[in-house]
Amino acid sequence: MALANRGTTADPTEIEIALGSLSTENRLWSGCNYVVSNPGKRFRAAVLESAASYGQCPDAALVRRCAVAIELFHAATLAHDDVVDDDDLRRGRPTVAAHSGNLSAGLVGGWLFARSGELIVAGGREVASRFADTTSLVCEGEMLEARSLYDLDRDRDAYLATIEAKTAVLISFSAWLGATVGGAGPEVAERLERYGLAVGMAFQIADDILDLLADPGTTGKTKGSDLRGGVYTLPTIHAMAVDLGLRDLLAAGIEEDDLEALVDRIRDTGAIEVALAETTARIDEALEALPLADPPAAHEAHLASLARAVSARLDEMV
Amino acid sequence: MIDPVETIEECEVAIVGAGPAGCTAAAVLAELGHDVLLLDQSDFPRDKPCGDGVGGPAVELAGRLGLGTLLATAPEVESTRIVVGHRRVTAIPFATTKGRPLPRCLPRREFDAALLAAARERGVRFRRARVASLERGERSQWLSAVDGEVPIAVEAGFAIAADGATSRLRRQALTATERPRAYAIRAYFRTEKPVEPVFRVDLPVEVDGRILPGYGWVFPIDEHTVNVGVGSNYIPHQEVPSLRRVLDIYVDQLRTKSARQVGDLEPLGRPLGSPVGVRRQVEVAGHPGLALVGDAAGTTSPITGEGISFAMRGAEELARELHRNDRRRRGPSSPAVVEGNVWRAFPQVGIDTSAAVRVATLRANQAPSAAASVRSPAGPFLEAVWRMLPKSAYGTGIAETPAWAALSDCDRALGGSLERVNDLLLERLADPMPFVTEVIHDSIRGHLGPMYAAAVLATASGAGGAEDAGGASDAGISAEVVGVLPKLLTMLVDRASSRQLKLNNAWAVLAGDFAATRSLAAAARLGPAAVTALSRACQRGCAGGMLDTTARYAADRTPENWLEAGQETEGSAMVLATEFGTIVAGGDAAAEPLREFGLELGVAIRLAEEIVELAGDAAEGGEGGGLDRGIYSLPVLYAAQAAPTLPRLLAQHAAEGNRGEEIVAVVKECGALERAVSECGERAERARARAESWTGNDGRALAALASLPLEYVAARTSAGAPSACR
Repeated sequence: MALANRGTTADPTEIEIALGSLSTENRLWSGCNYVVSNPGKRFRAAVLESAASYGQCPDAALVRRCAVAIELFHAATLAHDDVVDDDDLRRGRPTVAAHSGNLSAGLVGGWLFARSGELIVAGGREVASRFADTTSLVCEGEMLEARSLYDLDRDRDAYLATIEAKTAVLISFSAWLGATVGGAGPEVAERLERYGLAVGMAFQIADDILDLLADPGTTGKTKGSDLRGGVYTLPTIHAMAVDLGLRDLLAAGIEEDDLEALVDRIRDTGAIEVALAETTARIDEALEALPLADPPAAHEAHLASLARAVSARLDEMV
Repeated sequence: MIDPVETIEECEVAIVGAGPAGCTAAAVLAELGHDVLLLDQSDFPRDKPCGDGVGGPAVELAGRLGLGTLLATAPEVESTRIVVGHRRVTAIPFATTKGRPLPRCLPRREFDAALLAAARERGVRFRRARVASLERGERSQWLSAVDGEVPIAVEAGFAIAADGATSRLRRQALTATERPRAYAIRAYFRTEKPVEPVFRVDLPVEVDGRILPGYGWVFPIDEHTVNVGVGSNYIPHQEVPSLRRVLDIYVDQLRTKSARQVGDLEPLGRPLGSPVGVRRQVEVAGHPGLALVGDAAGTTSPITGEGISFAMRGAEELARELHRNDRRRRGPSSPAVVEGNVWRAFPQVGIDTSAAVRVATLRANQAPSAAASVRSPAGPFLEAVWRMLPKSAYGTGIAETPAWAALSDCDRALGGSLERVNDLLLERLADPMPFVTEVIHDSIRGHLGPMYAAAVLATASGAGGAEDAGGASDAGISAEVVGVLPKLLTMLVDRASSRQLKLNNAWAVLAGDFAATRSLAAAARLGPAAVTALSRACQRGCAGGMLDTTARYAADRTPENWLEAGQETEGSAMVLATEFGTIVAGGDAAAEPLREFGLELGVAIRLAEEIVELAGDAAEGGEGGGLDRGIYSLPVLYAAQAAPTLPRLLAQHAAEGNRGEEIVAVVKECGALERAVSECGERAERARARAESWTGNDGRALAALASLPLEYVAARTSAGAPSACR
């Protein structure tokens, strides 16, 4: 069975940069290697690399180092997420947590985070400082989400604030970072930062729609994991506001068999369309912020198409 | 037309509400020479719905206000006893270190009346009146009140709202104020059984098959009288259960399922209930000229329901703060300053437990309540929360810790700097999740105190002084939090089969991540060299943590392997501390002049903590320190080599959990403990020597830190200090 969303295969040089001088004898190595060998879509790195091309003469080695750093940090958050959510599947394979245990996953995530910090320093003082701020925001986003678990009163604003922190700011930082180390200048960097933030919001909303609708073959994760885990995302929030009986159903608890019926009920409220519209609006915002020449250069077009691809994923589903 | 005659009262400070918070603020202000008018709608003495538990800090404060004799007649409470399902019991004894008084239990009717009397003895004017509103004037606050029919106007320089959970003044002053998030009800009962001096807490309280997001309690009033009550957090959009009914059901449950302990409860008087001052956030400043205290500010702990200690301590802090910022009639205190100082006393209050309560309630309601098995573990993170609950509620200062004492002995300014680091740490650790701040900070204050931060300061000052005091604080925070990281990350449980364990893991991960990002943020302020050093130390820490994890349940783990792990975790963190200190003093961290010092001291600290947790005299916080999770300390490893019976005992303990005492006895008998203590001393001595031979620099403060591990072991165990290490 082909796993459609498997992503790129790992570049050996990038693995080398990622793992650095970590001793192969330590069990940590096997967990870290497991993670970096399965890089997924490398979305953030792609944003960073294209952003870097806005500069006249980007330092390829530095750009690459930063790209690896961003993906390492992202992988660290995923490893930890999978412990928190008690998830078994990630990117089509068992999670580190399922594979080696939660303790290992915790330490692997810790190591990856630490290593990403070491790599990013190459970008200089301001880069390190903004990286620190970004990671703090991501963590706070995770905490906001944990705090709102099973909160049937979670509203749209709370949801948007949470996803901005836990997802969008990292993509925003990736874009800014690429432009900065690529030498594109502060104005371009600022516009790309805005692009990244909007794309990040769209990305997460789309992800949340997919979690409800798509089967594991596409997402690489177990279906409906958000609902079962008490994470009430935009479609669910909208649906609960419209269909008052839905809230009681959710309050009573979700069995495996109920899931399909619940999702159908959510769809009946038009919640999916509402969430889709939100996604599209953010993508438009992103495209507006993106500096585009006429005709656009290759990297500019790439960033535009990355943004559009966010909603394209959804077209088959809905 | 004739205007109604209005009484006008003038005062410096008007305090609305004569409960514990109001009376304390009034008494302290009066002692400091201020003119205080205290207003309350009740005649005293009067009843108050409450568990009647007066926590240690409140006992201390009330004692200073002259209530010592009265409190001495009330039962002294030794522990909190948590009863689950009327069967499983966990006792949490109250710490009795350094002369801190134990809690007492005294009906509020008597306690509050005595506090009011104490305030009046100090010259506080009391007026019975119901305050309706507060208006700001140019330089004064105007209160409108009524005493019966008589309208009263009060002109005050500053106003304090101590008017409780349903505070009217709060509602007027704050634009976005929320309802109290908890309610409680209690009644007094007589019992023929002798009443034990414990705070009994029952969890969960089950009503109509649903679990209440709160708990029931039985508190001791005297030999045959108890205060029985239930408190519940309020979850929006869920039916608020009739607490009166819940209390009746709870009392019935006690009578049938806990008859042996509580006896036949005979009601004395009627139940009394009210909202409880628990909110999502503590808010202490209404607007310039008005401060909130106690339940009006929301300082009651959402976890334990304890309110009196926080109310009184907050009131005392506020009173002192106002005195410091006294501007008489030239203008009110700045709210930001007031808020900062009062807040600092209560980092743990104002946290939102609604997530925890929701998850626990939801999960519990989904499944039939299963009989608790003999050893169903809550998970290390949750156990840490249990242990710290009674402790950290009572103080967040580090001025009693060995680390602080050692620095202060060398140089008082260093001790002061360490306190500033601690203050800043609490600020930076303020977080949106329950328990995280508390567990992290409790871990820092435990054992020797903030050793890593102390080492940063000792290095910086020894190398010629910190060029940048802010930088020294950031470095201290960063190093200290890194020291805590491995502990947090290893609080995860591999097979999270129960909902409790899943919760445990979720929070442990978030706590670890939070600590890591805070540490990084602080290091980033110091520059790229600091970030690099930090990143490398953390990588080592995780590698060391993995060595420890891999070695769980391995009775044949070699001491060399243990040592490697120690060097990678505590050792690296201590080396990092010295590197930070060097950076702060403007030096080159890469030169690593104190590497050996760091490695030896780090390992010595690890060893000292292990020894105390295994064989310490007081119940410091370990029942054998992780033996049932397969964490074998160095003394245990030495003993496994020397005593052939030990590996089997360890295996039995892993399976059944009941061999802890035997294991400790074997470790002592075969000389392994003594060997470990010796080694601890040797390593500490090597560290001390390296500090003193730190060429071109002053290593005295670092040397002083190096003497702490062994002193700590000597103080906490009967093992004593070997003569080798003087």
